[in-house]
Amino acid sequence: MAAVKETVDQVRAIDVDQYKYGFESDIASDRARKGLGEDVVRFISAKKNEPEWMLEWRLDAYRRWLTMDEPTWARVEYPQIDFQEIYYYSAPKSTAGPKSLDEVDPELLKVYEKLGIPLREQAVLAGVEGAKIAVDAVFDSVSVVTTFREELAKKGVIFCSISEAMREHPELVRKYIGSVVPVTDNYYATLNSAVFSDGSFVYIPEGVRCPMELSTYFRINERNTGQFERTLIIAEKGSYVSYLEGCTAPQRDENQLHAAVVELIAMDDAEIKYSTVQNWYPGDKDGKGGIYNFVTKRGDCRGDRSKISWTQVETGSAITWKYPSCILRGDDSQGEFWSIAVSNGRQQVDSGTKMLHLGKNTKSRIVSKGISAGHSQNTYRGQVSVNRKATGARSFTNCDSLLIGQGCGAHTVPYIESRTPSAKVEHEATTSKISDDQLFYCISRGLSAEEAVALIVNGFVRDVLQQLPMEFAVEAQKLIGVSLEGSVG
Amino acid sequence: MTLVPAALKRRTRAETAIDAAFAAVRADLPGAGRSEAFARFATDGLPHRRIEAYHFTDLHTLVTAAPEPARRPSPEVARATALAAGVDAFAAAGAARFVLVDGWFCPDLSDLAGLGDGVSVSSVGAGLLGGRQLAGRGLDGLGERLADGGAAADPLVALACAFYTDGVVLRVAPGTRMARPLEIRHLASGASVSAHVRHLIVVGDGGAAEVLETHASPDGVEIHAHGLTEATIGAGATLSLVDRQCEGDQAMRFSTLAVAVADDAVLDHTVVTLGARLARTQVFARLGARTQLTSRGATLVRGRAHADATLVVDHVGEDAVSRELYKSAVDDEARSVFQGRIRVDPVAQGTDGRMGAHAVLLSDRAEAMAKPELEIFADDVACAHGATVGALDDALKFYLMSRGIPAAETEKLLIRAFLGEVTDAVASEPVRAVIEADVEAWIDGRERSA
Amino acid sequence: MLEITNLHAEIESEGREILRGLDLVVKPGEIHAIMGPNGAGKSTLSHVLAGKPGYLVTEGTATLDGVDLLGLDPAARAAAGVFLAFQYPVEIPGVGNVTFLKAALNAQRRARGEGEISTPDFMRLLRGAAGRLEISQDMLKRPVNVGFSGGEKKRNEILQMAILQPKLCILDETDSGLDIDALKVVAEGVNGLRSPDRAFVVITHYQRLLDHIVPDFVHVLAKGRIVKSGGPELALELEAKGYADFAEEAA
Repeated sequence: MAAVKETVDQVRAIDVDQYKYGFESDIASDRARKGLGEDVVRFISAKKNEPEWMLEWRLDAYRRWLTMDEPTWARVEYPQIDFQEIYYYSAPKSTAGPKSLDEVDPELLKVYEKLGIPLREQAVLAGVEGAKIAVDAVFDSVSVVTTFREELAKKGVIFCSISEAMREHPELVRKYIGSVVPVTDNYYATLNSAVFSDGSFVYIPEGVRCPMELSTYFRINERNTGQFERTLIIAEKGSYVSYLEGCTAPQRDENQLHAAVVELIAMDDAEIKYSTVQNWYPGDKDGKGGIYNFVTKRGDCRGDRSKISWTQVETGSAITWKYPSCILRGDDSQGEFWSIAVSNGRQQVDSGTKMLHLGKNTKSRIVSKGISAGHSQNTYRGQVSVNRKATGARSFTNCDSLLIGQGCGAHTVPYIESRTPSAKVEHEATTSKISDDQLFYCISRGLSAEEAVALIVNGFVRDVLQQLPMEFAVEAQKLIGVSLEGSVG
Repeated sequence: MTLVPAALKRRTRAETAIDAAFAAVRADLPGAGRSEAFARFATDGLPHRRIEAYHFTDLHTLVTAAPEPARRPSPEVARATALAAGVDAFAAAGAARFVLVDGWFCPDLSDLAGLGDGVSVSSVGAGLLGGRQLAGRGLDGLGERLADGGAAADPLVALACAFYTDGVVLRVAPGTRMARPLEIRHLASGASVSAHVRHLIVVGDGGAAEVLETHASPDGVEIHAHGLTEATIGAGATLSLVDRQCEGDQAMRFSTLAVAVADDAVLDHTVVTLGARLARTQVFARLGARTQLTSRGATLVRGRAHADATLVVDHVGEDAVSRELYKSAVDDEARSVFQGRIRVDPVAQGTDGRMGAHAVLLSDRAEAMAKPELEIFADDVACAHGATVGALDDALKFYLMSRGIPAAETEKLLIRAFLGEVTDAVASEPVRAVIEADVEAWIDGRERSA
Repeated sequence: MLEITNLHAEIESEGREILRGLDLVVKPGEIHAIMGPNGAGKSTLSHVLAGKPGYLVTEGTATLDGVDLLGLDPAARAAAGVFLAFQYPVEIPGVGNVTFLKAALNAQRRARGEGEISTPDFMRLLRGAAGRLEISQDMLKRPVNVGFSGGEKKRNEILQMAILQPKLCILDETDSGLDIDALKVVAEGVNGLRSPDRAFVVITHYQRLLDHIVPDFVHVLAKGRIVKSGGPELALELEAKGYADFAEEAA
């Protein structure tokens, strides 16, 4: 279900300055010192009561990070980030591992209530008919509560915070963490490896179809705080899980850094469906403030006939740098990437995917819909690479961009590499403006210009919206409408 | 320069040879701007895969040697070269002929008569000896205008600007139509040398020009052939340009066309790449308002050859139409690369741009890379690109075979049909016939592995 | 002419058996209709006879005038006299219809040790056949099947049949996607090619084609085998009763 419950009606007269989730909560927190050093890495590890090997892993990452340079190849521009001006750890004070919701700071619960995130299980049950969703809520750096755990445990499903998993299931974490996104994969992934504070852990045992949607809700609250969560999902043979992720942050003048790592592993015949609605604060219309979102998401189709499907609706963040990818290692495995990226104001999006075909008869499908408005820049960057051994591979990419207004840019940068004749790789892309004829038609039927744009855009992104679980799709659709308000005039 | 750039510290063998060659010949080569051009190259050396524009064509590794710059051939060598090259395929097109051997103009082998009033052809070499300056940032200031498209910063352009020995200057006066096409025929003496040419084509407002270029070199000789053609097409003018690259199997060919197309002008460009162990063909086109660009390419590679077609089409005026279609047939262990970028400036409303890149892999170890880009800053546009890589269609093969056509012939028919979309579009009948014959010869020359 | 004995075939990639011991004998001059429910293996039979890749024959034989068809590649089968009129003729961009027909005819003639046909003779042959099938000059000039309507594609198949003069013509659901006028043109084209030394295997789901191409024998194919054979009246019976009974019988 939904990241957001309030309806668009309640956020009338919004322009891009009026970000709906821009409230700040006054919650006492426990923070590491400002800036980054080995001491901070040790501090975080100690706070989490981590085993020694984990501390070593973090320190190794930190030392490697010191030797790396920030990547510059993406079409995004931002002032130099001062990594010493960021707090790398901030935890709501009362959360020394709440046993139940009653132990959670009431202020915190209020935040999630405001956001429309159902943390009270009974509330959820009373809420949407038949739709049960287990939620892991991550506030600034730590997981505050995970719902429906007992019911999941009956099926053998593990759904908890990653710090808890490190304590309770160290063998699983140790085996899989960093196995999809290596420590030195890229600048931000390495930074994350050193300082990640929390995130979600999911383990679906062999043959189990996860009985409900799993969801993580991320919220950045503290000033000057970076959020570095780490998510690890393992789907054993023949299992299935659908996982939803939502994000918001308060409205602030300064930029905040978010650098997450998500690793997915699908064994033989397993399927993971990962959906994101990203609505971090985008900054104001002049580009002041907003989240820098540098995310590494990668799925490993390790088993034969496995399938990983990424769906994303990206409407927030000042900068989005994100390429959810699939390594199609198992024979007959499949990767999908369904994306809607909306940019308005001064937002900059550089997002896409990588599909690496290694196994035989692997398939990938990429559908990307970019919508640029205002003075934003929206880039699709993708790679399809077919290895010589990936005989019989198939890949199809469809990449459409829509421009609204004269100040924005839409860019498409695909890399296609095929090394076997038995593979078939196809790529299509179009860029056009929103059709005047369609707009006029809608307006002549009584719609306002904004409603008409929303309607046409929703038609444009329909294929992707259909990939989302229903309640999420409804929310996403509203969010797209809200994001584009003020784009026609 | 007080500091040695970091990249200069570790030069590859080829880079060292290029440095030495420049030091050896710079005193002999007239014309300004050569040292500046060479400095632009030398700072970073041969581009490697981390340089975005060379991601798929890493010259740092692919170019392992650099033969000495070619000296002006003696009249005897020139005559023998022309004799060995045989009949000029474009003779049927009735073209005037400007012949270069190893990058040097050979007037005795050329026939420049009958191009008509208002059409002048001269050699860059003669101009240089006459003290005329063609260098600097570009010929006729064109370089300034090409800076945005990336041509001015390109290392291959820099090399051509540093080393060029000769080339054609073709000027077509406003309102003038060439009476016959001009063929620029590049021959190679067979010596392992580096040849560098630089052409200038200026078509005045409302004029019309047709240029055919043929590059030929013998198999088995490592020749590095560098070419830079700078062209301006005046308002309402037309330029038709056919570039036919039939290099030998050990040759390396680096060609750049940098062209500014003024308002209402038309550029029709065709490039056919056959042979060459390594080929990189670059087109930088800047399109004014209501211009029409057609650029089509056929790339046929086999052995261990690597052929790269790189295209930057920059729409800087309203309502221009660009159509690009590049097709490659890749056999054996060869590799084809296509990079194409359509860029639409904020003022270029009404742009209609379409680009297609298609590769067919004919053997198990053939490879194709494609990077078709759209970079759009104006909203009222209709731009699209499509790219495909795959084998010949099995369903088509079966259909043809079920009508009794044997497997080998079926493949030929389908390869010809695949490339036909490019070759059929060449308007001039005799020119099309030459290109079709090239394709046919390549197909016939495929060594059947099975 | 055509003798099929105990033919078993499966889809290679799936290992799923489609033909399960099919027997059929077709003599020169005869027209045999093969009918059956969807999924019975009708199209598979036509594909296996023409040599389409992707099928694996696991047992049985198929010979044309004593020549083992299954050992030949599709081009050699065509030269031996097999012609398949496709249910879905493919479009071949860049290959002109005339060029294609001439290439096919000459390839078959060469394979049979005959000389190539002269261009004037070929054009005469083509014009005659095209006229009978109402195929325009424009269709002949265009690439094979590209931009053709469904009816035009089917007429083009019959044109090829007329030019190539095969011994055995297999029509795979040629009536699908045709309106009644197009169906008549196609049927007349086929009837015009009837001769004492040529046989036809007409695969169809519906009886209506058989009103126009009258068969000598009708066979019901179900679950990969011929389960019933009879005269033209069997087709009418099927039209009235449907295939339900035969699906049962085969099971």
